[in-house]
Amino acid sequence: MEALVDLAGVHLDALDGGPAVLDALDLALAPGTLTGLIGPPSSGKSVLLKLIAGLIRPNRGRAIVAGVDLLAGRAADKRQLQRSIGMLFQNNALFDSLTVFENVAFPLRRLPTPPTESEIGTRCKARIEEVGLGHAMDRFPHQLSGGMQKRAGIARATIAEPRLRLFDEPTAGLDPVTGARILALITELHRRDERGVTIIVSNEMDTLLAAVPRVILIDRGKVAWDGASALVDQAPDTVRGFITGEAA
Amino acid sequence: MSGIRGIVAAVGRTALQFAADLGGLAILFLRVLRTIPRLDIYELIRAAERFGWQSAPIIGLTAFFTGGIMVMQSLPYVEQLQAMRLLPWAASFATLREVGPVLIGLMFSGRVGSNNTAELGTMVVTEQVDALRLLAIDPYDLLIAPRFVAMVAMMVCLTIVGDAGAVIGAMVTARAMAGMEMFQFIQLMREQIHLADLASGLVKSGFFGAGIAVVSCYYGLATSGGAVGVGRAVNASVVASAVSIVVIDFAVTAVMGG
Repeated sequence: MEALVDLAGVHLDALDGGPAVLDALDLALAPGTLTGLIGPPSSGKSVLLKLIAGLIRPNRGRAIVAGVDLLAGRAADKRQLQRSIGMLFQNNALFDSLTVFENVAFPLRRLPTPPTESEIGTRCKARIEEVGLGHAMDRFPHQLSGGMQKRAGIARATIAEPRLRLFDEPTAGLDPVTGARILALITELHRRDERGVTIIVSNEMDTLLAAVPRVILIDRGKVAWDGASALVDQAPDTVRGFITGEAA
Repeated sequence: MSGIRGIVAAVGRTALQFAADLGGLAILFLRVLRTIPRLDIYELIRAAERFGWQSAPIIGLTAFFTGGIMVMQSLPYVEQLQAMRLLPWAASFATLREVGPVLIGLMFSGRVGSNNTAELGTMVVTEQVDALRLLAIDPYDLLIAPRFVAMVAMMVCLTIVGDAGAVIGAMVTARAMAGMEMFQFIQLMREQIHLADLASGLVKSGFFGAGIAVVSCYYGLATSGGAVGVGRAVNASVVASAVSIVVIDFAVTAVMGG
């Protein structure tokens, strides 16, 4: 099956002239992949997500996402691709001037051929209820707690039924119960569209390993390990050391 | 030796940064011009309401007192020269052509330009601009072009409000301090002040609006480094806007001859 995300030898220079942010990175994700992306701080995880989303252009290598070449493709194709990507940003990136409902409705209203307002209303209300924010539809982002903002961000990222779902630290700063609930919600959304790809960046190892079948460790801009969550015990010492938090 | 090298390096860094900023401003301006035909009308109306309507009272009030000050500054000289008929001209000529637009431009950059930089900068550091791009929305269509057009239009409108406020302030002060009746003040002003004087100020204010818009959007979009970065961007934007007002004023005055 053709990979939905196909990166080979991807290289991204640092702006300050330091070590490369991504260094000859190879990654192939077939449709139906649900994977966790882990790694030390500043290892390139968030940058990799933004690169896959077409927000950052690599300097070299091959980067093909859903058949669109991110280095040599046309701008119109890239825009088309971006409409099939939903992303939860690390800072949630909710629009300050819009309510929760308006934030979630925004991607639908901005489609080239948007659904009717009544359909938008029905779909958005259903998704907002699903993430447990039915009581907060008319609130603005600054009136929400961190966990509520994450859930609103997930609702917005998934409302247009994207094929590629990217979640950057969806459980960061949340209590374990809320974090587990959010990961359960993400995996449930993935289960409904198994032709798509879901990538979750997180370092909350216990909840992540329980939620995803595959884990990719990024270190110094490279894929340091890529394997099944169940086989983490058989990973090299350095990888196990990072995952368990014990020095190798 | 290392001290001299340090100085040369610092001068070089500053020169490179200055060149990069100038280039960035020019690129942003050209992109805005290209984007104007497809700007978001709803955002334009929203920006115009925020930038213009909410600034009008403070601009009108400031201009009112500026008009009064111009009368107070002129009065001793026109009295000394026994040329009281020239009082409306002395109070209004420089106000309409120079003082009004520059003062309003500086207030506009402090109030609207800095707010614009802070808002855009916050949107950048909280990834809201990335979120827009991911939805295949060009931030120039939705954020930059509407703000540019709104700032140019509102700067001109606010200058008209300010001019009116300054003339009223001058009339009231002339009545109180020199006993000149208001209808006489208006009559003399109509004889001594020409439409070109008013137009000159309005043209300048339009250019000031464009300068403030380009500078404030540029520093907003170039923000990095969280809350500290937003503070730095606002500071740079206010300073650069003030400089741009003076430079644009010099250039427009030189070209228009007054």
